[in-house]
Amino acid sequence: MSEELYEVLSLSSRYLFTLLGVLIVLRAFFWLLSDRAEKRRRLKKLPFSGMIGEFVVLADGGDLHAGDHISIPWEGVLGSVRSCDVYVPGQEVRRQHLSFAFDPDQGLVLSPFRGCEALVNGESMNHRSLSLRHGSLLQVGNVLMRLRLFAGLDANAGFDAAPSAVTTQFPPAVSPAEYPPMYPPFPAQEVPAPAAIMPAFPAEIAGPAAPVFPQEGGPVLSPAPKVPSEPSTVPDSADTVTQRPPARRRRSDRWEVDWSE
Amino acid sequence: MSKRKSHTPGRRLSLVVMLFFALAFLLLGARKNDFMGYILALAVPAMIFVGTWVLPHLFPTDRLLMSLTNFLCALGVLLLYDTNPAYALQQVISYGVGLFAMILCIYFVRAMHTGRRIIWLIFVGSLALLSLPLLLGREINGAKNWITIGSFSLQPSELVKLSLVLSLAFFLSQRRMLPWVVFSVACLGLLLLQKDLGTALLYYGTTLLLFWAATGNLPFSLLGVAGGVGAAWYGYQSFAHVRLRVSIWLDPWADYENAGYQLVQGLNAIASGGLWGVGLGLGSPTSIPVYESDFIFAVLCEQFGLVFAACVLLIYVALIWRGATIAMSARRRFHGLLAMGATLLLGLQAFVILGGVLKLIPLTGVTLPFISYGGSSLVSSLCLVGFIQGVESLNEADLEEDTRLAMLERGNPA
Repeated sequence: MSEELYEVLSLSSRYLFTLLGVLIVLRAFFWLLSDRAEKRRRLKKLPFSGMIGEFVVLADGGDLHAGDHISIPWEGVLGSVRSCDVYVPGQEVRRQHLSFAFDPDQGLVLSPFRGCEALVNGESMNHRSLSLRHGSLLQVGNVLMRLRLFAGLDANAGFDAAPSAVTTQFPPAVSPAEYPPMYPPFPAQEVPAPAAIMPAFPAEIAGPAAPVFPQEGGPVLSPAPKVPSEPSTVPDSADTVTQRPPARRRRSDRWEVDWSE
Repeated sequence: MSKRKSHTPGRRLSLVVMLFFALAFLLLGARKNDFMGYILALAVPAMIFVGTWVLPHLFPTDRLLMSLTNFLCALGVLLLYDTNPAYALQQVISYGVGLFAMILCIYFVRAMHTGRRIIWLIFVGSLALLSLPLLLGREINGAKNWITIGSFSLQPSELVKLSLVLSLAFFLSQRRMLPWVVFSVACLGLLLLQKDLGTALLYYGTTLLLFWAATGNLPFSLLGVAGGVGAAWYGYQSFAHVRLRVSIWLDPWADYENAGYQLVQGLNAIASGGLWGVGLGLGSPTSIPVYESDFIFAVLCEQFGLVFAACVLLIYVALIWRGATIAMSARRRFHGLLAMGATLLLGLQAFVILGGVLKLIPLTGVTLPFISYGGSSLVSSLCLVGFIQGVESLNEADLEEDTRLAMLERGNPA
């Protein structure tokens, strides 16, 4: 090809190459943005994506109230600042109190930071790592919480366990007057199996529930609390324990596992 | 319909990219009357097609990242073929090796959570590798950072970049300060002994930015910035070549025939390209010293013009944006920090060299990721993209697991 011809072709094609370059950039950003929108649509259908469960606050403490739910990601930091992955605005809760990570075999592994203390099922962590299973109690500062793992993340049965369609019943909320702000340090006890912690659905429901939280010097947990009457959610007999509650369900009730079996 | 819709942006992008390179290589092949040009006119679009559409079916790669990376790599081959066809061939071979290394890195990231003890092996091995140039290396352009074994040359600092990102991500995710501080300080010390100040700047900047991303600790991060400024001032006072680089940056025309020649030639090339370029294959890109490596961007501006150069910058922005998005979607701290570290390193490297070529900051001897000639640089850049893609594949797997669990829940009998 002669130099003159090439020069004409090259000078003409520079506008084409620039146009193609602009098209490439526009297509790349369009792909980027459409991918992002697609991901958002997927995540909208999975409101608990990235979460392994939640802490259910059992008693009023700090800025939290009984019945509050705090979602738990796979790993992170629990503390009293909003930048923490699990935000617990309670008294005596440090800015960054402990770190946690979910392990399919061990459950939710907690590691307190230096100088921070917490109670797991009434037992002091004593600056060591402890694991929480579904239904375990955790007290940080004056905030008492119970861990609820989502179905399929049952640490005992393994990661791939299919969820079962049953609900759990937690002991009712207890007012602060019925238990001290911070548990006294109990001697280390064997953590009771979840079935002992989680009450079986009672055949009869009578009267207000007795508090199930440890009194000073008492046992770690009372095994058989009485559940108050809640016709919309509580089954009438033990035979119906495997049925879903028929009434309005909260969003957090969607994935639940019955540990009583 | 949804599947077709999700692939349409990728298909159109790939078609435009393939068309661009087919035309460009055909034009250059016709000009040089070289068979290699015609082969590249077929091979490069085929390589882009394979990288964007075939590889994701075989390996857990991210199509968008592959598209952007392939475009930049192919652009490097095009510019090198325009200036020196031998370099282009070596770059194509390096790209093949880099692809293989990238896939290994993807699987390494996926397996990393089960092999954490390997990090200590990487820690020690990297320091040993980085020490080799001091013992066996040869000095090139004032820095002793190359080792040569026969006809094979290697720049260990390019490979140790990968270890830096891995180590930082691992120890920061474990909230352990001492190991990564020791590793970073040791790497910086070795690089300063080799007088590889550009790479030392990259390492320092990446460490600082990743520390801030991991901890959010602004006071310590600002202290790190102050420390960097102090070290730069000390370097300026102590090293003559640092003073020279700063004086060239401030006024390259003061000594344009000697010390400032390279920068002046680069700026002239950028200016002569104007908005649309002088035309592919025209101009005189080889008049710029080290045009194939440090000043490849000036060659790009001369040949294709400032508008196209701005498009290339936007491609880098898209790459960094994608990497940052992947990092923030990671479920585990280690994966998020790894993807973020790889993204920061690529972005910082691009910024440092582009800033030097455009006279925004003093020039340093680092390469433009994916485009510059250099096997070590290309392989390490592709490995960093491999880390990001590995994390994205884990993100996708986690999302699919969530979908499966939700479907199981919906499918349970009442």
